[in-house]
Amino acid sequence: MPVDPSFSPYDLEFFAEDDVVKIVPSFSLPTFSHSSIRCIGGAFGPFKPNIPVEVPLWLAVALQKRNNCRILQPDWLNTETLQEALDQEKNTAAVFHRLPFHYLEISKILFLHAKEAFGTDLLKVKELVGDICKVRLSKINAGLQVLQGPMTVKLNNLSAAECNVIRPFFQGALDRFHLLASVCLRLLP
Amino acid sequence: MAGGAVRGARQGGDYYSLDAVLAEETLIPCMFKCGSRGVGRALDPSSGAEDVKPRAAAELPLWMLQALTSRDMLAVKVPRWYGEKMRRKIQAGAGVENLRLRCPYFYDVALALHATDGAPSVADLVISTFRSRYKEILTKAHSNESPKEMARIEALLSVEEAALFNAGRASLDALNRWRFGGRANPTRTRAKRRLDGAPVNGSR
Repeated sequence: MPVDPSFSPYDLEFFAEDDVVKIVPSFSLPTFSHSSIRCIGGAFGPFKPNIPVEVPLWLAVALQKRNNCRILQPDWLNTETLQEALDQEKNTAAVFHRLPFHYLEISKILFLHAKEAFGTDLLKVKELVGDICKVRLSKINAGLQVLQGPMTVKLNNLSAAECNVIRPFFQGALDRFHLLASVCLRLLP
Repeated sequence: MAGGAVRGARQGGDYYSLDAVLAEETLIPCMFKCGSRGVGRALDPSSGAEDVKPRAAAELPLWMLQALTSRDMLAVKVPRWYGEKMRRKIQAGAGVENLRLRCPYFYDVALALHATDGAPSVADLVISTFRSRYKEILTKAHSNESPKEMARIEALLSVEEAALFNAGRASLDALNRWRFGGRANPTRTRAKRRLDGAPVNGSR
């Protein structure tokens, strides 16, 4: 029963690159089929200058690196929405606020490659994301403390990185509870 | 982690688990119901006689117990670390007890003992121990305690608990390393420079 984490945060960052962001291309792609490009993951485009289009993060970053596009700030990644999310996280102890599954990974990639999208808010947004993560992790930890035996625990709206953090410990603890309980079922409360 | 170590090598469970093997080396106090010939010095090199008399007390490793109890040759006593005194200590405060010192494989040995002679009191004690220790100290694996406090906690844990605790810490450390920069594993040159005391991002 090895309890290694099956994914590293770097793996999760790789998965997050499939999530969709909006960009404003500064180039046009003249192809036959409505100037969209076909990839295994789907067709992206059409790319026309100054017309926003949705592409996966990896493509957005690749285009941005060549100065071919401008990545737009996602709706949920601005100061007001994040502040609201942070307040909700703080006010409700039992429920997690609904955020994108890969919110930590996406924000990290965007903070690295699309600094311009945030303008002067960059530091503030970074700080808010960090605060939200901190609050959520402490809530998760408080939730783990109520575990008293092999039972089901409801964890809605948990993000990928957070699942990954608690997985080895949580799984190991549940296994151990199960092992002890299976020996002596009648001793359970 | 030797999660299934209870099933042990004997019953074909974790045959290759080192922890399962080590857990079975734990000495358990027993009493011989009938005498045995010629094993006195093998069990205890300082023993005066070659033969073991009936009602002689001895400490036998866990792996011998099942074979001997199934032939009704042994009466197994409850080891002191599952005794009444320990029970009172656990009730008073499970989180301060040093299990590593008492019995490094506290849980696995208890489950194996329970399987051998069905001592319900031991299983009962062990379940309540794990429940309160989980709440009191194991969940601190995910909290931001100082390294000193972490080392103090780790010294108290049994081998099974330590595996759990360290797994929890490792995953949190991995997340923090990823979030706040730095490589997952330091490269050779970086590690070397750090050892030499030179600045890591130093002048080139």
